[in-house]
Amino acid sequence: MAGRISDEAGRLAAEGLKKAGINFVSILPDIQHTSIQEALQADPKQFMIHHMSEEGLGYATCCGAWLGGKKPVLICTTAGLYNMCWAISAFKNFDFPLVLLIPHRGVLGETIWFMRKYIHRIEPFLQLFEVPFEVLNRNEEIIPTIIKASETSFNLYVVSTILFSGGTLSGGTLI
Amino acid sequence: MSKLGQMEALDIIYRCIRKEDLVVGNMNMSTWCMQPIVRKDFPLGSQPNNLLFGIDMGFCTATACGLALALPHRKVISIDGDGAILMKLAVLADVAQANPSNLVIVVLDNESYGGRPKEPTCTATVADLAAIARGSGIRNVKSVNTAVDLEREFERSLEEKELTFIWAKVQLKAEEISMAFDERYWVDVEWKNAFIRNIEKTEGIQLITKTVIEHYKP
Repeated sequence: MAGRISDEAGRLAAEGLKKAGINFVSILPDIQHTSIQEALQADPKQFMIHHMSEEGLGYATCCGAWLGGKKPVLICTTAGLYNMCWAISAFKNFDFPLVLLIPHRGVLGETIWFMRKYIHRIEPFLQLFEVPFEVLNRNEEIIPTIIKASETSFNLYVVSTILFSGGTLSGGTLI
Repeated sequence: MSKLGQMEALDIIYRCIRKEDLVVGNMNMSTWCMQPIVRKDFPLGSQPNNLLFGIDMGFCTATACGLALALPHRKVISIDGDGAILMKLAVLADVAQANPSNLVIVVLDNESYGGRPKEPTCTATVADLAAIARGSGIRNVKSVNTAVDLEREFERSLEEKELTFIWAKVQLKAEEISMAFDERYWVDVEWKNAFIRNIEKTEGIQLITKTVIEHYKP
């Protein structure tokens, strides 16, 4: 079960983002979410894709894109969330909205030993930073949850987060 | 020859920018020094509407990049600092890869954190930001250290359609520090709101939603 976001979940995520009107994507390429990246790249008319080298910078780029009228999503790894804590804190001053998609590693079914560092930490981390989030376990939940997250983000000016877990993940290998 | 003052540099930038340009400024000395300059035209209680200042260290140029990508027909200027850009150097490679031709990055390098010489950044000794920018893939890189050079290169960058990086060596003078730290000037969030309303008006878009009004409508 544990591993990367499945191809089907990636396809559904792209569909959900399109339905939610998301049109700017900041992404740090990683095997955990290649499925979403490929699905988004297949629709260049809808999605402007910005590759970033560090998640905090991706966060800032999304904030600028929102100021320019885009509806942004940031897609990163579980580690990327930790990397982004300074950005989440810093931009609290400005209330810029965006949607954040990340795989939920370190849950039951995880088989990669170094993912231990995420056990019991991701959800408290999001709570600490007052980031509303929802954990996805089934593919059927993906599209409606992305639409809900988008509505919350762009009306409450917050970073809504979706954690991909359970049946939305597939494979336990790294490559 | 005396060094280019940080406030002098910001004054040059402020005079050169046009009303349709959008400026994103780094927190710390860039923000704090800009405010007394702007207050000559905008007394406290009124706001310039094309300057967004107070972006925390490391995120100014990335925010400007996102804005430039979203609005490719507008000139976007990032006013960053040496300590801030060093904190997140990867932004230069990211910007070079995205290559927004409407983005101008100006780094005001006072070689210190908070303008305090006793707290130097690496640019005071070894770091060459122009070389780092070039090595990151930005082709149009300029180094300036006088008012005349800054004005010439900045004005040129506003006319050119090419991603530009201007590295300006500046010195924060004692009298500028006392002006910058006058607490009357610290109203960053008001600047943000004016900036948003300006973009909404000039671009014909809606950033702030009206769902609350609709919800309570009788």
